[in-house]
Amino acid sequence: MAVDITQMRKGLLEFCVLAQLEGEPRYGYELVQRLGEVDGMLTSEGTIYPLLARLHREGLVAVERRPTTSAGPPRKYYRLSAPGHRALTSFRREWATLRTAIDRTLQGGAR
Amino acid sequence: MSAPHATAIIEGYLARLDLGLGGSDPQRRRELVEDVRAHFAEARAALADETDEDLLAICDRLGEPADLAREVGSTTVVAQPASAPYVWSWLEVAAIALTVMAWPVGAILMLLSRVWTRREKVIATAIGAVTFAMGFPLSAPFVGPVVGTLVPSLGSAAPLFVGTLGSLPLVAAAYLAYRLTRTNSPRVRLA
Repeated sequence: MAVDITQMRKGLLEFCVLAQLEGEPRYGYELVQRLGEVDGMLTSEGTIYPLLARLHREGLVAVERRPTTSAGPPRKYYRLSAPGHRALTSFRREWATLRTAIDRTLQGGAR
Repeated sequence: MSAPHATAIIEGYLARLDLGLGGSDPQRRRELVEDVRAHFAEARAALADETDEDLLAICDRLGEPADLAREVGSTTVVAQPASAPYVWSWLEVAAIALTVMAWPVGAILMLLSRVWTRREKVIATAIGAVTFAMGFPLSAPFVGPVVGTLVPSLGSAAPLFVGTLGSLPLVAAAYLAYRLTRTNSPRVRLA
C-alpha cells in the first residue's frame, strides 16, 4: 500500500511542479526549495530532475538557459508551455471533482 | 572554503548516479548527471562555510542515486502489437481525396497527418507541386484531357500530354494510400 501512495504522490507532483511554473519561469533548485517547504511533497529532492526532463520531453514545459548573476554556469529555467497550461487547467478541474468525490466517499465509510 | 572531502563526496555521488544510469538513453543520462551537478553547485552556494556533513546532508536529501536512476530508467520500449491495424481517420482520407480534387488543400492535410513519414510527404508533395506548376487549370484529371482535345493549338500530342499531367495527382493519391496501408509496423516510443 505504501508503494501505491508513492506512485500517487509522484503523479500529483507533476502538476504541483506545473503549478509552480505558472507565474514565472523557475530553475530546478528553486523548484526543489519551493516544493520542499510543503511537508510531504518532495520525499527525495533528486526526483524533481527526471520529472522535469520528462515534462520537457512531453512539451509541457520549455527550457531556457539564463546566465547567473554569480560566476557559475548558466541556469536552466523551466517555463510553462501552452500545452502545460492546458494540462494544468484540466487537472485543476478534475482534481476538484475527484477531491470532493473521495472526501464524500471516505466520510460515508466512517458513518 | 570547500569541505575537506568535497570532491570525493560529490563526484562519488555523481559516479554512482552515472553508473545506475548505465542502461538508459545516453542523452538522458548526461542530462540528469548535469542537472544533479548543478543542484550541488546551487546547494553549496547557499552554505556559508561548508563541512563534509553539509555535503552528505545534500546527498541524503537528493535520495539514493540508484533510486534517481530508476526514475529515468523508463527506457521501456512500448511497442504496439505488430498486427494492430491502423485506424483510419478522416484526416488521411480527406488528404488523399483532396490531393486529387484540390491539390493544395490535400497537400496541407497530408502535411498535418502524422501517419506518413517525412520522406513520403516530400515525394507526394513533389508530385503534386510538379503538376500544379505545369498548369493548374489543366491538371484536374478529367478537365485536362477534355481541354486538351478542345484546344487544337496544343498539337496532336496535347491530349496525351495533358492527360498524363492530369493523372499525376491520382498517382500522388495512390502513393499516399499505398503508404497508408504500410503503417502497420510497430511504433516504438520511449516512455
